[in-house]
Amino acid sequence: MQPAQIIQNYALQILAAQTASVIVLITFLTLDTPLLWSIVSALAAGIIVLTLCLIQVRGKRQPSAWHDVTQSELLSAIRDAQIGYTILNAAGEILYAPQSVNGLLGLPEGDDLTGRVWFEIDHEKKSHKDARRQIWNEIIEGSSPWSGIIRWVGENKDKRYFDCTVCPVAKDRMILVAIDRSDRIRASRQLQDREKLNNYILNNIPVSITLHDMNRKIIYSNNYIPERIGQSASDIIGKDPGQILHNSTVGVLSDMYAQMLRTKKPVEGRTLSITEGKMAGTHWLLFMYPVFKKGKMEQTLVVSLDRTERVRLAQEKEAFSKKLFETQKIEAVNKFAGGLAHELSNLLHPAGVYARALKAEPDLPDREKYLGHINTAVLKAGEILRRTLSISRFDEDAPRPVDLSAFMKDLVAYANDIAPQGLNYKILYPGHPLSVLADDTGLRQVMMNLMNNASDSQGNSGDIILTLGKGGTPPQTTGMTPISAGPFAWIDVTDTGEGMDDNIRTQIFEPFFTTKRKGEGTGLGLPVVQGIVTRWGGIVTVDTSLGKGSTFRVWIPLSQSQPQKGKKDT
Amino acid sequence: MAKILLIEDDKAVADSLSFVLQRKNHEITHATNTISAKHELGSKSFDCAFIDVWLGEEDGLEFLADNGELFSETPFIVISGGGPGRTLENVTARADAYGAVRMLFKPFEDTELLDALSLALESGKG
Repeated sequence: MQPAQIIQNYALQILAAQTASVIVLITFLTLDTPLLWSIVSALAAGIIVLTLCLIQVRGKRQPSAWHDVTQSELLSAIRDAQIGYTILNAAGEILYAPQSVNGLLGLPEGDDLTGRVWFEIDHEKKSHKDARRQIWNEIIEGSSPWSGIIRWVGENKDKRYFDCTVCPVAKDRMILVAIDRSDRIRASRQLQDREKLNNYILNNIPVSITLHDMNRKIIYSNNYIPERIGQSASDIIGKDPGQILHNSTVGVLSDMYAQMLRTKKPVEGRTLSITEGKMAGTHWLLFMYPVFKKGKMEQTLVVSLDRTERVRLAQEKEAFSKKLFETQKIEAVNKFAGGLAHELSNLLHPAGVYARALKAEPDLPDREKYLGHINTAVLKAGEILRRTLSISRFDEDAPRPVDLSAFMKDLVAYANDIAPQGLNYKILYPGHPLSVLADDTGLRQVMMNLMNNASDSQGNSGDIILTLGKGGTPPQTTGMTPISAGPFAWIDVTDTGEGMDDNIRTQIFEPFFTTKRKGEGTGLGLPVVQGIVTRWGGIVTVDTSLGKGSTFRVWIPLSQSQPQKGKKDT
Repeated sequence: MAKILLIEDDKAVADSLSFVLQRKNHEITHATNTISAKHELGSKSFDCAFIDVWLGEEDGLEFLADNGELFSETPFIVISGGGPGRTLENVTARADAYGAVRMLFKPFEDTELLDALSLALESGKG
């Protein structure tokens, strides 16, 4: 209570006491009572009234009582809490509504709502208003309280949402209490919209996302995998991945799961190719993430990228590369056939001459020499044929991971043992392991061939440098493209010999082309080398200039896996 | 006895051809490349020349095309064992065009060689 009000109360009480005294005095004087008695009686009446008033006021101000909260205070608090109320009759007409309701409903201040049907006041669609009327009638008939959300449409189509309760208090009296929940409902709607969007994204990205409990049972899945096996996401909830895909796929998942449990860290980038079941023929890249709750691993998130299309494209590319390679090969075969014919005819002709001569004259002088010529020709033809086979052989060992540094170390140790005095092969190592996809026998043949050529070009003396490294792409100098897209490791064989001009450089990989003196080379060494390396998906290139020596670079695809220990070149 | 220039880079082939021709008492001069052949043709006269098509990095037919005048007095026989782009038809057509007396494909019989030589020597007399 305000101080002014207290003073006002006291003033009223004093006034009441004075009034009582005056009335008693006038009454006694009128009844001819002696003056002294009259005054005494008047004073006594005043004191009694005042005392009674004071007693009454003190009683009201007991601190534990709540009755001193006025009705207006209560209603003001209700208004401030965005709670509105109206009293209505059974027809829904407003009998009483405080002014605060206007503010709550966004209506102009001063609008009198009395007599208006509450569900007709706003700008909601007619169908909605009809529905409200129906609900209202049901409430009236049921005579029991009703609660629900009511949407309120303003003049500008702005919407408010009220949590409403209707309480029947008498046959024709209802109290409607409305609490403004617009903010909360809007927030909840936004949350729902966001959830819808999230679900839309999750179900439309080309990625499978599943959440598993610690028994590996699926507790969430987006639509990616269910759609591919003709089921819905809810069908696979509670199942084990092995039940949905195929048992053969579980191995990879189990390995990942075990590693994740051990390290408590994500396991990323494992590949999975499914060969059986409904998903047969698909290829995946898997990521597994632990989900922690209060520091405890409780769930597993598995993200699977569908690489089927990518693998298909890669396979197509490989097939195309092979075709291209075959085309290049046909061209090479044409050249090769011409070269082979030339080489063999040069061997066969002398053999024929001497054979005929010996047939005609078995005792020909120098008989042994001519027989020797025939024998040499036959052996040389045999050598050409063997090399021809090694250009085209397809039955060689399949490429497997080879530790390049270790391989070259052994090979160079061997090469130095048999090298002429004054010739040295030296290796510059890369400082990190290099695992390549090759076959030992082929690699040995390739390297020995290039090392011999380098040695020849330096007159079998000095140092031949072999450098190991990785990275880069092969230059387009040979007219051939490697089948593999890389990445590559390489071995450089560098000599300080005469080098080559462009004319020679462009021909060195062609069969039967040789810069060596007649009888020293077959012209098949480099074509054989190129043939072997291209089968691994690599290529041999050369960097050379006349007078400055040459560097032959053998490009070999890097292997993703490490060589098996103990399996060495034999 | 005829004086014969043999232009052939392959020693074994040259030796075997010389073997057959020398046994018929012909005199053989051997050139392993076109520079040497030019030199011989410029300094001596020959009754006949045998020219191989694949002369290492050189081409016997190209040599004929560029140096026809060197053979104005010397009948010649072209020898080939094939090679990239050097089919029988292709080489024969070009050899004919340059005026070869005959075309021989290795390996061939000794009689073919001697018949071709006889033909060349006869044409040279005319």
